[in-house]
Order: sequence, then structure tokens, then C-alpha cells
Amino acid sequence: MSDEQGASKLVVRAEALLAQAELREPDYDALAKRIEGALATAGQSDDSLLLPPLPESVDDGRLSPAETAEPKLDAVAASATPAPEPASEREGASLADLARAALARRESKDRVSIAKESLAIATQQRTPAAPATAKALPTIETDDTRDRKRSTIPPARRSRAAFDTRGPWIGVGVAAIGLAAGFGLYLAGNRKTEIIQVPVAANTPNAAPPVTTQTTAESAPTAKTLTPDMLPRERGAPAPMLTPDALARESASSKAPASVADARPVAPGERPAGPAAVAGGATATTGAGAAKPERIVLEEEHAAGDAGPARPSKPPAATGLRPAELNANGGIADKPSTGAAQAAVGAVLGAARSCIAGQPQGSSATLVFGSSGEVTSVSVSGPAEGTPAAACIQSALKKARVQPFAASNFSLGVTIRPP
Amino acid sequence: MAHRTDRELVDAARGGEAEAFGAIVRRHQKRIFRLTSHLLRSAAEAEDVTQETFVRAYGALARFDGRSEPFTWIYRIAVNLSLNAIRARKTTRNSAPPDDPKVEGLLFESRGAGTTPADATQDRELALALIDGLGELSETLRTTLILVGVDGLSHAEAGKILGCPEGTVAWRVHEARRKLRAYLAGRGHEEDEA
Repeated sequence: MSDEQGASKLVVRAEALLAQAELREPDYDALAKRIEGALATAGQSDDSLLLPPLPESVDDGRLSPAETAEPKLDAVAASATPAPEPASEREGASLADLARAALARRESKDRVSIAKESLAIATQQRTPAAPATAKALPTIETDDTRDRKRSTIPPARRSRAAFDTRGPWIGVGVAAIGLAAGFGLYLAGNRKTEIIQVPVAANTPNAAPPVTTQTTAESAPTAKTLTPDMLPRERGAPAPMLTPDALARESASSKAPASVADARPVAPGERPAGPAAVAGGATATTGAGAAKPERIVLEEEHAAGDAGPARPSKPPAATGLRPAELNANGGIADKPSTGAAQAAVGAVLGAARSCIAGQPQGSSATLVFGSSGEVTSVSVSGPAEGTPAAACIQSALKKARVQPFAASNFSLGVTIRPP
Repeated sequence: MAHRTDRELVDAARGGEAEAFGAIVRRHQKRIFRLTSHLLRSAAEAEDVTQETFVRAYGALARFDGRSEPFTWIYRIAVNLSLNAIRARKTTRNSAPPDDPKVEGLLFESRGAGTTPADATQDRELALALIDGLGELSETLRTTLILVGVDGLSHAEAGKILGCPEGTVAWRVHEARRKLRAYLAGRGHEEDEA
């Protein structure tokens, strides 16, 4: 046996012992006579007995003739697939089984040819560094062992090939992200309304209505949650575009004390409070004629605890809106703060409500403040419109005052209910 | 009767000369019996299969195409019959216990002349462990290793009998020996470096 060299000496010795063992052999002469006697009755033998009993299967490895002559068991054990037991024992030697085995062998040969072609392609495209990788492959490289390998491409080339295939996908991913971002901006551009609900600090005893501040900012690119500390630029509002008059007023009143009912002094370097600055920014844009005037609607309620389902009974603390009459530069605020508007309207709201005492329904009024802080006009709509009550309401609401602001005007709406 | 080759005897038997096939039987029955004994691990079954092998070969003489040696052709029939017998008796893969009468009867004693009783006992245990290990192998690996390692056939001859290339036979032998080495190591039979 030529493959004893390098083989497990123990196993080979055991094989030799088994081969040399004296078996309990029969009487061969008697056996031969029995066989000769049985030949007379011998019929036609089954064809399956003449077929190869254990042909090559897909579970078999194969060694090259050189390795067959001089086997290297350690190398074979390292390179061969670990213990490929036959998937299923052949049950019976029917022709169907043999045909399936033959088909399996044929498919195996097909895979071998495919592996050869792949190896040839990989060899042609191999970089100069590739031969070193090829040398690292097991020395025993037979058709079947190649067939067992998952890939014949060297690792270095596999990684480069993977990078080459990732490139287009990265491009597609970037394009998809860009499209998604553009679509999001498009949707955000169509959303123009931001709603903030703040309480009105009404001075009347039975009126502590929350205020729904509705800001219509058509120029706002996105709809976002507003926080008090956000600068106009951060809120997406355009930079204030002050008219020459507003600029003159701003410069004239830049050092004037800015105080409203609940205003606090703001240091020159301190960031201004948000809502006023935001409103100012929007109003400045309005003054430039770029957008419609901002409108604040004040809705009156009889009691703070009498809030409807859609109205919060408590002011949202998260907004934390507070008046701030100075902008970031320490100058005049662009618009009156919400608190100042609440205080101003609340101070005269009682008188306005008394104008419609006895009427079943309330009316609405729109106040327009001038940059000086005075009410320049009041329009009344609703049941009181065209009635003497409207003049009464106008007279009462015109007494409202806010601090001067930089914007050209500032309008707000208020619902007046009968007392 | 002058010494005739296997082919000549087969041709004569195909021509109706019954004694010619008897000559083939006497020439090869011992090797066939030893082969089937190792495959079947039963002397009684091996004797039956040996007889059946020659009877079937005689019945198929008309289909002997002459592309292989008659010896190889008969060997193939013997392997097929042995495998059929193994499958028919639904042999489990479980190894036979050392006191299995079939194994004991199969293995009388080794021929190690001049060995001490201790060495003889050790060799006998090793051979029995190998028989058990062969039982753990797959049918393919076991049959191939018996043909090559025990019966002494070359890879080429075994390949012709089994119907597979020589390289495949070599791979099977290597694989069987690798597994047997691990099996024997697990049974306490370590590799002897000396």
C-alpha cells in the first residue's frame, strides 16, 4: 500500500493486524463443491449486481494522481471538508438509485467545470499581489475540493469586488435621501399656520380667558414648535426688514426703557425673549409688504376653569411666553409681546363687554395697533355690527395701549361676549 | 490441465465448460470469503455470500463484456451482495461488543510470531477496536478501506470494483483513516511514535 507513508501508523498497523488475522475459514473444497453444485440451478443474475456498488458521489473528495501516489494525510485532513458523511445511505441497489447517483455525479462534474471557469477568470484578473495569496492555498487542490470552496476569488479581490458593488448602492442611497429631504421641505412649505395658546391676563374679575395666538406666517418655511428662547432666524422667520420709519423709531427708542405689565429688563447682551421677537420679525416682514399682517385672536372666556374641550384650562407652561420689549440689540421690540397684548386688551375688555350687555350673542372686534402702541382702528363684526354697541365697543377698545414697537402695525382679534 | 488465465477460463465457461468456472471458484473463493468476512463481520454469512457470489457470476457470464478483469468483475458482485446483506439485516451502526461471537469467531489470533503475550493481547484489542471503528464509518468509507487497507487492493483495482476514480478511492481511504485515528485515540489507543 503506497499510502501507508504519512498515514496514521496506528490505523495502518491495525489494518495489518486485521488483514493478517486468521479467520475461521471454511472448508474451501467443500465450499467449491457446493458452489459447483449450485451452478446447475443458477438462473439469470440481477443486473444491479454488475453495477458499481459505490460510485463517486457528491460527498466524495478526490485526490490527484500525484497525491494518490504520495499521500500527505495531514495536508489532506486539513484541506478536506471535515468528515463528509454520505447524506443518506443507499437503501437498496435499484436502478432508480443508481440513476440518481449517476445524475448527481454529472451535476458534480458540471459544478467542477464552473469552478474551473471561475478560477480561470480570477487568475486572469488577479493583481500582482495575488500570487502570494494563491500560494497560501492548500497544496492539494483537486477538482472536487475546489468545488467545495465557496469562492475561488482571493480574499483581497473579494473585498475589492464588494467595494465596487457598494458604490452604486451608496449613490442610490444618497439620491433617495435627497429626494426625501426635498419632499419634506415641500410638505413643510405648504404648512403655514402655527398656533400658540397663551392665557390672557384679563383685568376683569370674570374674564381670565386663554388666548389663542394664531400666527399666519406664509413665509415660514417649516412648521415647528416654538420656544421662547428661539431667535427669529432659528424659528425660520425671515430677518426683520424694517421700513425707514421703523428704523428711525428703533434708533430713537433704542435706549428707551421697555416695560410692559410683566416685562422684565433684559441685559443688552442677553438673548431676547422669543414671542415678541418672533412677532416683530413677522411684522417687519409685513411692513415691507412681503406678507400679510400677523393676526392675534383673543378669545374671551367667562372663567379660567370654564374652558372648552379644545381649550386648555391652564396656560401651557412649556411655552413660557413672557413679554420682552427689547430686541437682541437692546433696541425697541419689533412687536408687542403677547403678555403686553393681554394686559392691554384685558384692561379695556370689561368696558367693551358692557357695551353688549343684554345681547344673547357676543361679537368680534379687530384691533390694529400702530407702532406707537395706540389703537389706530377697531372694526366690529357680529351681531353688534352696525349698531350703537359697535361704537361703544370701538370707543372702549381704542383705549388699549401697548408699548411702542418697531413694526408698522399690529392687529389682533378679540371676541367679546356679553357680561 | 494447463494453467489458464481468468479470461480464458471465463471464455471457456461461457462456451459451456463447467469445469472452467469451477477453476475460477477455486482460484478466488478464499479471497472472496475473506473480503465478505471483513465486510459482513460474520463467517457464516460470509460463506453464504461467497457461494452466492459465484452462482450469480455464473448466471451473468453472458453479460461479462470483457472490459475488466474477471477477478474485478466477481469482486464487484461480492461487494454488491455483501452490501445487500448488510442492508437486508438492517445493521445498526452500533459497534459490536468485544465479546461478540461473530467478531471473536472472525478474529482468531494475529500472526505476530515472536511477540509477547502482552503484545499479542494489545494487538488483539487494537484489531477489535479497529473492527468497531469500521462499524462507525459510513458504508462507502468502510467498504473502500476494507478493500484497500485490509484486503490489500490497489487504489486502481478498488476504483474499478467500486466504480469510482482512483483519486476518489485515495480520498476515501484518507478520510476513513483520519476518522479511525480519532476513534482509536478516543478508545485509548494512542499513536505509537516508536
